[in-house]
Amino acid sequence: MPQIKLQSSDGETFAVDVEIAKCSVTIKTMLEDLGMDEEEEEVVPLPNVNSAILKKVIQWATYHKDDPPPPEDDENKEKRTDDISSWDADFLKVDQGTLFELILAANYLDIKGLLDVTCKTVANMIKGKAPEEIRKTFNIKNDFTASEEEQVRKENEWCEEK
Amino acid sequence: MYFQLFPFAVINQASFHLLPVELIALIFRYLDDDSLLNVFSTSRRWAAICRGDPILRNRIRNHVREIQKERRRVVLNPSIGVEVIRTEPTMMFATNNISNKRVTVKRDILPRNVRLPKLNKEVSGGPIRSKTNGCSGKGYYTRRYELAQINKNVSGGPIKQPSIGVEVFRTEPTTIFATNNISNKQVTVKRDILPRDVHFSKLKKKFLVDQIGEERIWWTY
Repeated sequence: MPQIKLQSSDGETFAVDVEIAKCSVTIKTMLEDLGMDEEEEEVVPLPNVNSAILKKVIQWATYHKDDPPPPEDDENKEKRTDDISSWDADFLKVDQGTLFELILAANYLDIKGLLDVTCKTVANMIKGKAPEEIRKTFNIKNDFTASEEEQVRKENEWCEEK
Repeated sequence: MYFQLFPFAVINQASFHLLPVELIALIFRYLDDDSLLNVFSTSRRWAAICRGDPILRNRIRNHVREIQKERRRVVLNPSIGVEVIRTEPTMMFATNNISNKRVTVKRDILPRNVRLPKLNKEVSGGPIRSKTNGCSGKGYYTRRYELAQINKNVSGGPIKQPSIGVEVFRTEPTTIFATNNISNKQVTVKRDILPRDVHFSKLKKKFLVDQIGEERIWWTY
């Protein structure tokens, strides 16, 4: 099977099957547009992804290489977040930093399935929590002034708009 | 050594601040409406993100409208907002001890041996109406009368529908709840009149057997 070399931001090179690398729409488009030859020993630099994250991404893509393409979804509808497969749930048992880096990488590489499942995981961390608990979970400072907080609590402005 | 550890440390500290606004908004789109409102009141930046995304903005606005509509509904028909549990129906009444708004007790929790014609209008000092909202044709008497009369006649029969025994009048549904301050019996409040700062997840769930022997779920906080 033809392979492609991906280089992470910190210089590590990974040899990946082309079919797996094409999970990433960014890489797929690049290969199609540039018409890279299979014989060429070209290295694809990925300056936005470090080696630890790239390793995780390749691991995910390898497992999901036979998945059907995800369906287009209606943006206005509330999405389900409880349909994460057990393999994905295990795969995403990582610290928050890694999780957010994975979101960034999935977005940059345009891997819809990975972006979807990582966003769902973060959404599940938010769901059912009061504002104070959310701040604690994600280390966010409450920068509302007292009067602003009152204003937010009233939420009246929402209904005054047209 | 330090430089090998450094990227790892950065990764560990990375959080939401790393993500661009579009990705944060994308994550928020996975939330249900209640969580979205909580996110909105978490910080300025997040509130700005919710306002800035057309889909999130619409969803929050519609949700707030729903909440306000529901509050209006509770104000117009107060008895749906409050549920009270008690073992001695004749000792029971509800008050609103935040706002001290008027509280009335319906006829159907009067002791069995007190008949409607025996009630004295002058003693009660309150209106006796032939028909009130949600009361299906029965008159009701004010709390003052209820207290005077009921303390004398502590002998109650079973109550068929505990939740219709109490009516609470109030203008601000978000700050209202009911207590039973004679017997200190447990009083539960439905979600729809919870104050905004009490989150649903903080409520404790209890299974209790009510007056007619049915097991029901009650939420307390």
